[in-house]
Amino acid sequence: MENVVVDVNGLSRSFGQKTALDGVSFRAAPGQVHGLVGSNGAGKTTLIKHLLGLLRATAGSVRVFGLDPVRDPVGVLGRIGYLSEERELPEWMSIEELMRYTQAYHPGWDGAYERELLETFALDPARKIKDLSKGMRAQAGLIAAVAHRPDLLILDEPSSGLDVVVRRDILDAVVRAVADDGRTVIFSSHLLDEVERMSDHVTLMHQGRVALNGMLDDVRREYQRSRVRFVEHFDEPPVIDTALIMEGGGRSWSVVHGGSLEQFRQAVAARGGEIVESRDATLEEIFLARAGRSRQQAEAA
Amino acid sequence: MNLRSAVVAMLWEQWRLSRVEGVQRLFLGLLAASGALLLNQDNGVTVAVWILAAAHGFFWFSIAKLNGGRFMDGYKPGFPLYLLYTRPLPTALVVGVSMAYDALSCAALYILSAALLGAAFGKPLPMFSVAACLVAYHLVSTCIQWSTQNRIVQWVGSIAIFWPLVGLLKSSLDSPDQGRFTLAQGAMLVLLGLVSFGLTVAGVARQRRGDAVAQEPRKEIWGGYPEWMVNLVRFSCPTSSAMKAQLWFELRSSGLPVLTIGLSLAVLICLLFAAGIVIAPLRTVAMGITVFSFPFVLFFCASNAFGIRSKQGRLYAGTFETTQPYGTAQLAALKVLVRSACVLIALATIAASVWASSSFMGAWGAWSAGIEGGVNAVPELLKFRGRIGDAIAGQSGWGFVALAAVVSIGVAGLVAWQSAREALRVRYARRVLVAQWAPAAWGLSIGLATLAGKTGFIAPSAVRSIVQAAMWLPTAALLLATIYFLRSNVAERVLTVRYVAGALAILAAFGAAYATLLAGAWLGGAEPTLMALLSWPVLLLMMGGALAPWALNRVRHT
Repeated sequence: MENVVVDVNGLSRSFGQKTALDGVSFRAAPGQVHGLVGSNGAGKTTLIKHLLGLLRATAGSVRVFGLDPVRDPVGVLGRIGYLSEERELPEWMSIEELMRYTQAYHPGWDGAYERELLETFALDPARKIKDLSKGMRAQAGLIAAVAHRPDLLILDEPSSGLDVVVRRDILDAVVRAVADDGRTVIFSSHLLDEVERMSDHVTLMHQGRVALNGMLDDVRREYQRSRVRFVEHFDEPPVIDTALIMEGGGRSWSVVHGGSLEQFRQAVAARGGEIVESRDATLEEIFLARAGRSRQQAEAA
Repeated sequence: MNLRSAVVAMLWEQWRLSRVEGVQRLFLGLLAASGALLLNQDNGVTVAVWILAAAHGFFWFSIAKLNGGRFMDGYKPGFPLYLLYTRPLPTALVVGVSMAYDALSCAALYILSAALLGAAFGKPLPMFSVAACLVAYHLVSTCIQWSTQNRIVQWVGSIAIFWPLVGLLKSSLDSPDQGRFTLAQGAMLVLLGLVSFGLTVAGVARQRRGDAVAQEPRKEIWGGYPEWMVNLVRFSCPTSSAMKAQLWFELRSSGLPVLTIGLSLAVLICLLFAAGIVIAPLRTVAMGITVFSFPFVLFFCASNAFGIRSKQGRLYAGTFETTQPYGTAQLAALKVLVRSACVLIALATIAASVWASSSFMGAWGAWSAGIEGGVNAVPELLKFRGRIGDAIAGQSGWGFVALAAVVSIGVAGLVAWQSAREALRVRYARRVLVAQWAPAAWGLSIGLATLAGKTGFIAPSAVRSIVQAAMWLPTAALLLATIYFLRSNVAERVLTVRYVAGALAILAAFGAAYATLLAGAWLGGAEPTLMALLSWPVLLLMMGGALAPWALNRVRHT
């Protein structure tokens, strides 16, 4: 298998005046579970659509399994399992027909796995898609996406519509099983706890750009949340180089910051302060800090 | 909430939705009615009025498509502006404003057209009687379309109200003081309007409360035929190959519904012709359905083979099909071929039914196309039937084969063109609109040049040169466009060797069959202009073959 499953370089895409993706670069290797996070309109679904060849790159390049998904849809889509955000499935089909139809496209279809998942989700194969709830539709779509054991599984907001049990137990298990087989999973979500739980790589997108990209543990180690006390009273947050965001007021501030803790300690000391306590920042704190900083920079520009 | 601003907002929304269609209707109506006034000196006004009434008689399709498409293409009967249900407005106001906009805007367009034509040609056209009829017809139509979500009521009701109102308009136009209603007729129109409004309010209120079958159309619509048609014939999806599975998909989702429609029309025509022996009014219905069923199947059932969907008026290609690992050219070819085969079978079934059923006309006695005091048309129709029979009997074996090949491949070309047009509307709506108007502009320019030649404004030799050049213009345009699409397809690796070989074989078969049909009858000493005209079917087919995969590729990879 290739060392790089997905290779996106300098990808840009605009819809009219709106820039949806702006110089995005992104890579995914076999066996990785890649979480795409970002606020609404950050560009997650647009990036996924490029991976599937549904959108053409106006600048930059997209390679999946070393192929261009627009020029070679058969070669790429034959190895991908995809669950769309809209859960778009033919309404007139029954679940069984959906499985048979999807199976015809994928010679590696695992019938036993399909039956196992149908039982796990308690889905009746005779039921029509149009009669399914949103969650059941997501479950049917998920089975159709994973039962042919794809080399790359792409899930767009997989948790949407799923109850907490299915989300935590079944979805996690399915994703982990795919990754354990040495295959790749890319999923988008705005549920940061889910990304922390499921993924080993994280890409934070903000306003069409990659704001943060790396292994989840590395990313968490790079950022800390520290409580700081100053001698002086500040009405506005004091300027500290490595600080991404500061909350609080007066002498006591809570800071999410990058760089080493020692660097930060020196910067705080230079403003007449000291670190009271410090810990690794959560993904949510990092996300809020990065998104907030980007917004501030955009406003300043 | 300020009630006035709410009404203005609703009117604005409906104006935004219908303005393009309004311009199209206005322009087409004026163009066709002008032609009628120019060409028909004796009866031009009456023909022009009927043309304008037809142009402005239908409710706004651009608003109706909020329900997910056109009549059978994902369309669901019911109130189309269902997003207004969440507004703090009484149902009567929501319905009243929508019905009033629909009826009054179309009537106003008629009055504007009639006034313009009257001033331009110096022949006053009846205004307010026709406008009153249009308003009544619109109110009843929207009542039938909006108040219920039952398709049978929608279809039967639409047919049932059409003829009485056409009869009323005809009697008004035929009366000596053209355009005056009797008191009883006027009262009937008012009553129709009031009853329609009341029924629509009650029906929409049920939909708003959720008492009706489905309280609002689904957000995600499968762009295809009604589900009961799709599920009429069930057979298992083959899993042995992707092509077989896709064939199953096409047959289930659109092929078999087309066959069902063809078979239903064939049976209906047969029954109506037979019943016409004892029930005289059914003869007109039988003839009407016979005349309309061919264009209906040919143009309606042959459209949108690529399954373009509509959601709140927005066109899009569904991700489910576009993410299946299947080549774009193969997918386009399979879709076009399956739909074409089903349309052909449906047409053949209807034609066989018409042929067999028309023998019942011998027992009808008399029929005069519903015109009082008109000539009995049955003997002429039977003679015409005999001539067709003789023509078919007189055909050689090769003649039959050539005719069958031209018709079959011609239908496939039509399906390819219509499907490509629907697909291109997803991305290039404005350009498609312009392209659709180009033939009309071309025809208009030829007409104007001819008119200028007749009036002596331009020399006859110059007119002849202009017309000749104009006849070659589409030929050149079709050739250049085909080259562009082919180049683009090759550059994007859309075409496969199999597709190109298949397309060339079909084109060669069509060319040979077409030449066989034309040989002897037309080509001997044909003028260059005629040669250009005769080359269009081949060029159109060639371009359709290049355009269809290009269009599907453009919507698959936006």
